[in-house]
Amino acid sequence: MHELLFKYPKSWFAESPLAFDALLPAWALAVIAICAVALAGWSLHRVRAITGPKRWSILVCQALGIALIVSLLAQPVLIRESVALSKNEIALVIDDSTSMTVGSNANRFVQARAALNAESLGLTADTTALSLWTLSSTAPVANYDDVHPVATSTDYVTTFTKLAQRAQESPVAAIVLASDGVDTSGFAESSAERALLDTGIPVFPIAVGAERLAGDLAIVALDLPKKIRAGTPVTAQLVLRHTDTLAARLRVFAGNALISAVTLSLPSDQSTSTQTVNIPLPEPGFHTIRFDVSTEETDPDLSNNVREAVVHVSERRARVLYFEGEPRWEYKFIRRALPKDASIELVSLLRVSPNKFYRQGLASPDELADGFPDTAGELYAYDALIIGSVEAAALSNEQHRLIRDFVDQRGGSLLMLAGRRGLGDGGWRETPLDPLFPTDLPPYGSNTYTREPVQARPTLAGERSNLLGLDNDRGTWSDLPALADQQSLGRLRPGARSLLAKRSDREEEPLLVTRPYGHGQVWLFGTAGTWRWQMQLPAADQRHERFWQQLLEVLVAPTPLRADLVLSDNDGQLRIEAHAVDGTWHPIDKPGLVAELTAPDGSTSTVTLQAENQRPGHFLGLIDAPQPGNYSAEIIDEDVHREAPLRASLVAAGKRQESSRLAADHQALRRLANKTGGIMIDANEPSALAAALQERAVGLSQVERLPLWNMPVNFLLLIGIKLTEWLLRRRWGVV
Amino acid sequence: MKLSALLAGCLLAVVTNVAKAEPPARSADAEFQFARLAYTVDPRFSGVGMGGREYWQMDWPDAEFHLIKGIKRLTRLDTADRGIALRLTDEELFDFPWLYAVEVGHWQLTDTDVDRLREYLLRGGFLMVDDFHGSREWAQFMASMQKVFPNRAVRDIPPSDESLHVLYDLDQRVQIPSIQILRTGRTYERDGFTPRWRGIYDDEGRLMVAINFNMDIGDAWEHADTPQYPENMTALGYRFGISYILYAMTH
Repeated sequence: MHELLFKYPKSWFAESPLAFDALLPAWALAVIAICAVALAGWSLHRVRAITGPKRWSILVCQALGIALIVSLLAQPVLIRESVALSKNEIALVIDDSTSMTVGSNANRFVQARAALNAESLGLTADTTALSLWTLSSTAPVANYDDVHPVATSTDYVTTFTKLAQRAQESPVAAIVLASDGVDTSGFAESSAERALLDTGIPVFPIAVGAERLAGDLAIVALDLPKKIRAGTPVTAQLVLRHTDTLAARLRVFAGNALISAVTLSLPSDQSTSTQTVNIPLPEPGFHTIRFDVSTEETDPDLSNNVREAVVHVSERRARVLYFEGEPRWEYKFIRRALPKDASIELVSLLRVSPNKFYRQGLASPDELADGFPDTAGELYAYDALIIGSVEAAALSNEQHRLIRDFVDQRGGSLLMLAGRRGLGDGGWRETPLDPLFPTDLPPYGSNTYTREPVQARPTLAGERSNLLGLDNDRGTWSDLPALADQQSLGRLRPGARSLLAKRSDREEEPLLVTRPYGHGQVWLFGTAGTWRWQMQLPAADQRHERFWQQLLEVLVAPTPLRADLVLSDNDGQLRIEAHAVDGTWHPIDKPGLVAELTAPDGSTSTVTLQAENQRPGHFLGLIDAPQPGNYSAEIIDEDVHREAPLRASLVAAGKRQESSRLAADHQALRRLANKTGGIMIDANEPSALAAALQERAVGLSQVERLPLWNMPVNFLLLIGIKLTEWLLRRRWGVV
Repeated sequence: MKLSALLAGCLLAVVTNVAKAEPPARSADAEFQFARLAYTVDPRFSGVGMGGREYWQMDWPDAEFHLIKGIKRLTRLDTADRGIALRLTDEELFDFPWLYAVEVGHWQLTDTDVDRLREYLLRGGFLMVDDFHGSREWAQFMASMQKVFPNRAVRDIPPSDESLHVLYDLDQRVQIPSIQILRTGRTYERDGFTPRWRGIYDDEGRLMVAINFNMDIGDAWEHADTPQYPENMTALGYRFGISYILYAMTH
């Protein structure tokens, strides 16, 4: 409407100054106006019928009309600076990544190419200099006829950097980008974005593609342990993206062998969900595990339905040393809780009589032949240590310090159980181990151990812990039998977590607590009476077994190996990390470790991992690995002490592949437009670009003097004034 | 006559009541308590020749009294001073993972007993049976035991079995006689000429039932303070008892 009356957009009046292009000087126009008004006044004066206010009213109308005419004679103009499209370059950029192939007959790329047609955009080569770009090219292209969407990633960085540089050499008025916005995360906040913003060039995105891709099911993330011990249950977590899909079938392969097939229920009110899958793993060795999800509905892209990862199933069994001071039922049932083929070996040393020990689970007849270890080499061979009803005085001061170093430096785990000679009643508070404990143990002589039964219940932290999941049902804790005994652990120390508490009428006390110390962790268990869970429940009930299997797994899992090698990848870069100790368990002191790397094509190379100054015994190597596929590395350095070849393997993704997200991201394009001062252009109405360019484009500009005398509103005003005068005259009978 | 008969009857009643007195209740202040199984006796044998007692009470209370002393002196096991008698149907049964049953050649377990004993053993309980002799008593024992584990064989405990090497190395396979050796000079009873150490094992190869056939370990405990009873037999009896207990607490 505004333009209908005023010829030009409202914003132009706000932005542009007003000027006059009259041929006559202002004083002449003023004289003409005054004379015209005077003449009008004298004419009215001669008409006797018009007197008083009536005369003044009509005179005002005539004066207004004269003023309007004189103002038009002054030739008012709007001085407007606008981009001279013919003198500037408009960069047209098309997204030629693989995500643009989505769609049926007219896929995204076809839509984009159609939208970037100069004629569709209201631009012509005669009046506008156009340069054509693709996101995968570093130079303009002649046309889009020979361009195909085959780029494996959406590279805004390179193209916009190029355009920013080009803007320094020639005027670029605007960038018109036709894209689906998929996988542009590397551009935001980058130096390329800042360079583009510095140029002031607005970007006008033309968004193509549906933001919600019906029927697409994709694995967007996979979390699978890289290394596990044979016999350890393995859990994989997959993050799935799904639209309109409620059920999916997941198949898991180890090599070509199908090892698991489950049906997944996908929440209908979410577009992503995390699925947890338990996997039975094959024999020791390196295995490429492939996860393949499928749905009964039509999936527009099957390439994002598969993820692979390499798992190293280690033959190594974790070893736990259990030192018990007297025959107890808890000892028996902890041993029974571990199956024979478990990935954890429980080596136990039981004091059956004052001068005799009974050893079980030995690797050799000589193991522990002299009793509890008194050297680091002997003790550090274990991953965790359990101490039962053993008085502190049963060990020497050196052995106490050895246990402390086992936790602090070796990174082992220590679990202490209740007993009439254990914990505070065993005098452990008064040993060098006291700083390690997660609680202030009662002092020796407190005699807090009692065979009074007590119920255990998970604390809030315990409920969130996987350790206490006995049967995928937290409610199972409420019907567990009472424990056979209990002992006070004292007050929690800072940093300690209580996972189980005693459920009694008195104030609740911690029952199972833990706290990290140094490189390891310390656990205190205020009971040795879980055996009642086994004896009081049916033989088929596995809760007692599961609790101890999980607790032992928690003890051994974080303990570092003597030497370890880990591979990881991030967008085409391979990260090789190793750590190693020597024969006396001290970090290896070398500037680097030598590794042999095998690439997916079978080629091998030697890599030197550099020592990390801040982490003795740790070594790191970063390798470019743009090629996706299976990489493997092996430490070939002779100085590394190892029980087995130190190898690691990985299925690398190479440079970032964007097919894990195919739904268009128009929001990303909107952000780009807002940041740069552009606006979104509807792909169905690309001609709106021309007007948008006039408003927002930069570059070489031109000054226009837009005439205002011929605005329709002027004529309407004039007619209105004369009509008002005529109506007044008619009313007063002087027409 | 009438008075003497009356006095004899009263005396008999007193003795019977004393003999039938139940062992004391559970001791809550110890890790281990000697638990004697009060099984169902075959009605044909109930009270016969036992002076008013039942067969499961054989050697009680002296057997466990002496053995407990030995356990306390020779091991670090926190042991209750007195034993307890338990029926298979007792609610407290599963709080005692070690059971001793004597004269099992006279037991006849009910169907409920059978189910309870099976469940008890599969959960981790241990049963030591002792003091039954000859083929007839073996058949009586097995008639019930086979109902408990119809698919598990009874095997000879090999000399290398861990149950015989926990605290002691029990390489001596000597027939431990009952007290009747003092009267008859024989180490065997009935046609139980050869001592047999047999057992029933679980799926992991752990001994669940230790069957001491054609021997009387209980008497060796009971008569630890009988000067005429061979001391070496008492020592061996102690060793077997303690070994079975420690085995049950470590496997």
